Amino acid sequence: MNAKKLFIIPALFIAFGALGQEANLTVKPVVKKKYDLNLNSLTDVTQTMAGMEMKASIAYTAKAVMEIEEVNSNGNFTVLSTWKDIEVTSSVMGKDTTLHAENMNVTIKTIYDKSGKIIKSDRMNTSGSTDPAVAMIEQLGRNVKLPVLPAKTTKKGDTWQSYTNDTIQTMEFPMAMIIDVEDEYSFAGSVTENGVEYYRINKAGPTRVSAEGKQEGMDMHIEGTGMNESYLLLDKATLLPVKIEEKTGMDMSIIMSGPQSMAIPMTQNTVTKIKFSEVK
Amino acid sequence: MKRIFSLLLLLLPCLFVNCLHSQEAPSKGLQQISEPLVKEFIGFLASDEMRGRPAPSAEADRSAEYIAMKLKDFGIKPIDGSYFQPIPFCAADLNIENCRFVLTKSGTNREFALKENFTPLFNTGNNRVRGELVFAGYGITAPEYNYDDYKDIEVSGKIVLVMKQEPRKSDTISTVFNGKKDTEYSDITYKIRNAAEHGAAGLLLVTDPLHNVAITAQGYLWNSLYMKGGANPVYNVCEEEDGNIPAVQVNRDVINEIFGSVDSLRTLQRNIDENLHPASFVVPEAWVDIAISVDKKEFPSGNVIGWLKGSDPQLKDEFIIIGAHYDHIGISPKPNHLNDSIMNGADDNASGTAAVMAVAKAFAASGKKPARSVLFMLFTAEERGLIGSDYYTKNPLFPLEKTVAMINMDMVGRNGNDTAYVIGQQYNPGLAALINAAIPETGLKKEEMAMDLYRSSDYYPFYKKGISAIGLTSGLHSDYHGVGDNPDKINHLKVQKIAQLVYKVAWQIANTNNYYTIIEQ
Repeated sequence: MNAKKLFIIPALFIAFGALGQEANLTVKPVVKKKYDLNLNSLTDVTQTMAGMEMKASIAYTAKAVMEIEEVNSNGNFTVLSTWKDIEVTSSVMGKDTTLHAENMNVTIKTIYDKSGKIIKSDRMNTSGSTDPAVAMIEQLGRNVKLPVLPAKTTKKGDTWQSYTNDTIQTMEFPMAMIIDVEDEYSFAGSVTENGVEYYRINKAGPTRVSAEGKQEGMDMHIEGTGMNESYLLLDKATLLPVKIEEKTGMDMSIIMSGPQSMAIPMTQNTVTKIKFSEVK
Repeated sequence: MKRIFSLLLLLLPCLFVNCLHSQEAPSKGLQQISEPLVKEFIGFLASDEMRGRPAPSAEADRSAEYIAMKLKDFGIKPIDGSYFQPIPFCAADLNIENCRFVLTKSGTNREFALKENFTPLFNTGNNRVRGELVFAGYGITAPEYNYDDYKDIEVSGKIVLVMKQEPRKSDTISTVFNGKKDTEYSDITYKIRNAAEHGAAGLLLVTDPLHNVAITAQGYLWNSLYMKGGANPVYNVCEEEDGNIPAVQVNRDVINEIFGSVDSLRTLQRNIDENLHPASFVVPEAWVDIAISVDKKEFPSGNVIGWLKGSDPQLKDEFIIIGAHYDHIGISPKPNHLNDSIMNGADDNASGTAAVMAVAKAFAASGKKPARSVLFMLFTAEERGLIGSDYYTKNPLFPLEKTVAMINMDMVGRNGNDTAYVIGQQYNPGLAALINAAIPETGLKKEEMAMDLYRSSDYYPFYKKGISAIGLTSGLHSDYHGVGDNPDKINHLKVQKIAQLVYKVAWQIANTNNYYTIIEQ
């Protein structure tokens, strides 16, 4: 028996890319304002083991409420993101499963500087951490970050860079995975959508992942390179995102050594759409 | 009246066949399948002397010889004088010092980095070539779709750049290239062969940018590029290179250099897809120099195959396969607390191998000849990715279109006296119905498995070729792929029961003219 498994590797690498014509791109949050956040994402995975192709797709929908808790005089601000509902539908090797959980209230407190860079991020309550749905929504919540802005006056066509380095672990895939994201943002000026004017930011950049560890008693080495392409619409008053659409692609190489040396190529493609709407 | 008579004449042979051949398995054969018999086979195959039968190895070869000798003793016949189907196993690796890729664009040379920018594909040729660069779309010549990327372009002696996949990949209702489902034209081996057949000197492959964001040079995952230290080699089947042309996958940096941007290539692809018309062209002032060096060491191994020729004049040219893999995974790098490091594979899959051998003995000793021909196949290198069974389906010794069913046994000797799982029922309703009906007679109880293991053993390559193929197993356990999978833990009564079940069902299939449909995954 060769009970091959499809490796479910954390699929969401959402860096809400740091961000008219000319604008001061500095976040201007308003204390106590709340936003409903709706996330939809679909990941297609193709993995080949010794010539056998295995396909899977995983769809997430999640809802959260994001509240601006505090804004300091230096521009730093605190966001409480309370992740409430999640539905995960997966189709793995012909088998469909759905996980649905409501009112989980997993709250993540994140302190940002005025450009949107994260200073600190912690989960407020840790109850239910062994529940797969809670663990999943927490991971999702930690991956969703505000964009990094240049925090200065910026002309249409101007670009800026950001670099993030994260380590993530999931219940499904307990090896620590290091994720490096290099993004180049460009300011695309003002755009009008449904009669409302927003600032548009385009973002693209390479992503690299790596992990070392053991899986089922075998040494495992993972490396991957990928790319993300996305755009964001920002509210002109607060410079907070209203809409984000991101495409991420990743080619990974999974190497297992031991009695059964195996080299497994895997390709992941993810489309993520997030909408923020102010709670009036 | 004449027409009805003609129909009756047509139907008559079918009725005749069903009447002539008893579908009940002869008890003389059934009695051959016993606990001591399977215990003897398992005892040899899973002994410490066989050192876990990793394929390829001397111990796997000794196991194969033992199986062949037993088949011969039973009276099972060899095929063209041999019980062995040799498989050209090899451990191949790049000689990274001698791999180079240089693009000359408008008179300027740029050398790209191995792994980061270019990686040879597994089927690459092993030489150095230099040639003008030609963009050849998807690299497909498909007369049935009236589509030919090479139609209006001369590529002889040139290097072709082709995209992965095939046109209109995202069409859910496409009538060309099967929409979202892959046809043979998306196969990389095909693209290399087709380029070589058109005279190309080399091939660059790029991920199709319309459906992918990551345009990487993943290529083949060569040991020398990924394995750190003295890792075990990755074995594969090394066949004649397809045209022996260097073939590499390139990343977005190479594409940016050739086309200015990935978006330019994306636009080309979009136009091809929209018009379903090739857009091949010579890339202006672009030359490619590729040198690939691959070291290959051959380790021959093989499947063991014997057969009983059918007796019915019409049905003897149809085949049923009873199969199992005889290899396991060898020695564990970490001994257990008893200092045992041999992963004997008594259950996985000396048990299934013993069951096939017992069924072979039963057929041979039944005193009757089956109507259809029965093939007994013991596969090598299942544990390396179903390599033996996959090789057979790509290099069949008997026509696959005449192969009506395949029953496989994998891990049939653990987890109590009577439970059994039937793998792949949902995709093989007819064959599953036969097995499910016969289970109670053999004292077994069918259980349902939560995991879908249908891609996990040797039935799967047959199913992929459209043959109804089903597996029997007694399920996974804590000794799976460990040093604890020893002969003393085998429930030989269970192996006997499952072998008897397979004998009965196989006899039934072999003595009717029924055919079994499959449901696509």
